Amino acid sequence: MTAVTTSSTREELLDRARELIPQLRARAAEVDATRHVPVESVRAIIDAGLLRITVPERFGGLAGPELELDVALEVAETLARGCGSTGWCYTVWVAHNMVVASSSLALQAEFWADGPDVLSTTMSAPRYVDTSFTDEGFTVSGQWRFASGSDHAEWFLLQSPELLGGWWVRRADVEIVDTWRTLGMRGTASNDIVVKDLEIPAYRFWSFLDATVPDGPLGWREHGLASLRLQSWQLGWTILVATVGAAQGAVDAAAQLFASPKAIAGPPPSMTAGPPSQGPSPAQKMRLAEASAEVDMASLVWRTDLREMLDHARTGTPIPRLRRAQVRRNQVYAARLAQQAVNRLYEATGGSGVADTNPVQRGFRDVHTGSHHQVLPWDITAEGFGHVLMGLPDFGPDFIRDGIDRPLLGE
Amino acid sequence: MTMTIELPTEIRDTLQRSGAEGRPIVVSFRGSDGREHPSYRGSTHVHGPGQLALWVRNPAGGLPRAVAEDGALTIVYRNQETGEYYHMRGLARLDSDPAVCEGVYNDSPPHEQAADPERRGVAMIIDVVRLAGIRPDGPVLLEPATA
Repeated sequence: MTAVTTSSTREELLDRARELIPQLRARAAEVDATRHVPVESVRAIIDAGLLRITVPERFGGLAGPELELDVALEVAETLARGCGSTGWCYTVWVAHNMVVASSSLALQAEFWADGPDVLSTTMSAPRYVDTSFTDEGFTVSGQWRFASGSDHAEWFLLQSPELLGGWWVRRADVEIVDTWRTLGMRGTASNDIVVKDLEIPAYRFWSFLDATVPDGPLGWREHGLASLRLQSWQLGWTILVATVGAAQGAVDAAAQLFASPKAIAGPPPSMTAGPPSQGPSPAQKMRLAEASAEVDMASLVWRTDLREMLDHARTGTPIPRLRRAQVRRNQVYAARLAQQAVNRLYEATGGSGVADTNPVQRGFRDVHTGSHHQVLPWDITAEGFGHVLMGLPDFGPDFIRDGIDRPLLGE
Repeated sequence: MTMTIELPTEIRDTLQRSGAEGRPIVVSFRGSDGREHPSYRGSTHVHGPGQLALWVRNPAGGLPRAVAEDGALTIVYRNQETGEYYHMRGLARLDSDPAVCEGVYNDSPPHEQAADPERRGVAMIIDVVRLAGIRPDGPVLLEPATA
C-alpha cells in the first residue's frame, strides 16, 4: 500500500485530480462493462489524498477555511472528466464525509476511528421502511434504492423520510441487492440496500433538522467549516458536478473523434465527418464550440454560486428569496446545459457513436442518467423560479416561500 | 385510571425547549397495518408534570384519527449534541374544550401557531406513562410506582 499524499492546497489537490484523468479514462469502458469502479481507481483517489478534503482536521482530514466543499466538487468534476461513474462515486464519498461531520460526535469518532479514508453512501429512496423505537434507539427494517458507491462503501446512511434523517450502519449489517442496470453511470453500483430488524443505537441517527438549530448545526460549531452550515437545498451541486464533468469528458472525446475518427476504436468514421482528406466538417467544429461553451458556463455558474453561498454560511447573513430561487434554478440549469452539450455532440458522432465503447456516447449516457436525479428536475424548478420572479407568494419549499430554513412539521 | 409518571424538572425543561431549539419531538402511533407511523410534531410541549400536549392542525389527519381509536402513542426526543434520547410511552386524547385549546395553542412555538392562524386545529393531551433512554449522565428509566 502506498502512502497517502497529505499536502493540502487547492492547486495541489486539483493537479493530482487532473493527473488521474488519463487512468480513469483508460478504465472507463471497463467500468461500464463491469458496472463497477475498480479498486485501482479507488486506491488512486485515496492515495492522492482527495478523499480527505471534506474530513475535519480533528479526524486526520484536510478540511479547513481554505478547503471547503467547493474544492472537493472541483476535484469531483475533474475526476468525472475521466470517468463519469468514478466522479459520481467520489462526490458521494466526499459529500458523505460532511454528513458524518454533522452527526453526533460519538458517531464521528466511531466512523473515523481507524483513519480519515472511509467510504460511505446514502440510500435516499426507500422502497419501504419500518421503524420502531427502543429504549436505546431504533429497530429498523427496509429496502432503499440508489446506494451509489455501494461496492466500496464501509458505512451506509439509511434514510428515513418520516424522521427527516437517517441511521448510520456498517456494511456488515446490510445486504446489497444488485439492481443497478441503467442507461448510464453504470459503474456507480447504485444498488438496493436491505436491512431486517436491525437495532441501531440512538447516537447513530442523523437528522436534517439538526441543520436548522438556531445556533447553527453541530458540525459548523465543532469544526468551523462553512460547508457544514449549508442547507440541504444548497447541496444540489453535489449531484450536479459529476454530470458537468462527464459532459466535459464528452467534449474532450468529441474533439478527438471529430479531428481523427480513426483514433477511437469502433465502426467506420461518421458520415458527417466527410472523407478523411477533408478533415472535420464545419458542423462538427461549430457543435464542438457550442457544447464546450455550454459545459464551461455550467461549470462557472456552480462554482460562482457555491462560493457565494459559502460566504453566506461563514457570516450567517440571510439569502434573499429571489437569490435562493436563482441558486436552485442555476443548479438545475447547469445540468440542462450539460445535457444540451452531450446531445449536440452525440448527434454528430454518426455510425461510430452507436458503439457502447464510444466515449462520446458514454458521456451522453452518463450526463442523462445523472441529470435524472431527483434534485435536478428542470420543469418543477423552472416553474418555481418563474413564480418567484413574478413576485407571487406561497409557492414551493419553505426555504423559498418564507426565507427560512425551518420546515413546518406534522399535520 | 391512568398510571402516569412525573417527569424530572430537567427533562421537562429539555422537552419544553425542544421546539424553539429546532429539535422537535417525534410522535408515533401504531396504525391498523401494525406499523409505527412516526412524524415530527413541532408543537409538542410540556403541559404538566406528567403531561405533554400538542396542537393538531388537521383534526382529520392520521394521528387524531388513530388517537380516537387507541390513545397509545410513542414519543421520542433526541439531541445529538448532548446524546440525550428519551423514549416515552403515552396515552393521548383530543380535547376540544375552548380553554384547553387556547392554552395548548398559545404554548406552542410561534412558527407552529403561525401555521394555523385561524385555530382550525385541536388540542391533544398526552399522559406520559413511561420514559426510558439516555440522559447526559447515563441511562434513565421512569415507570409508574406500583403499590
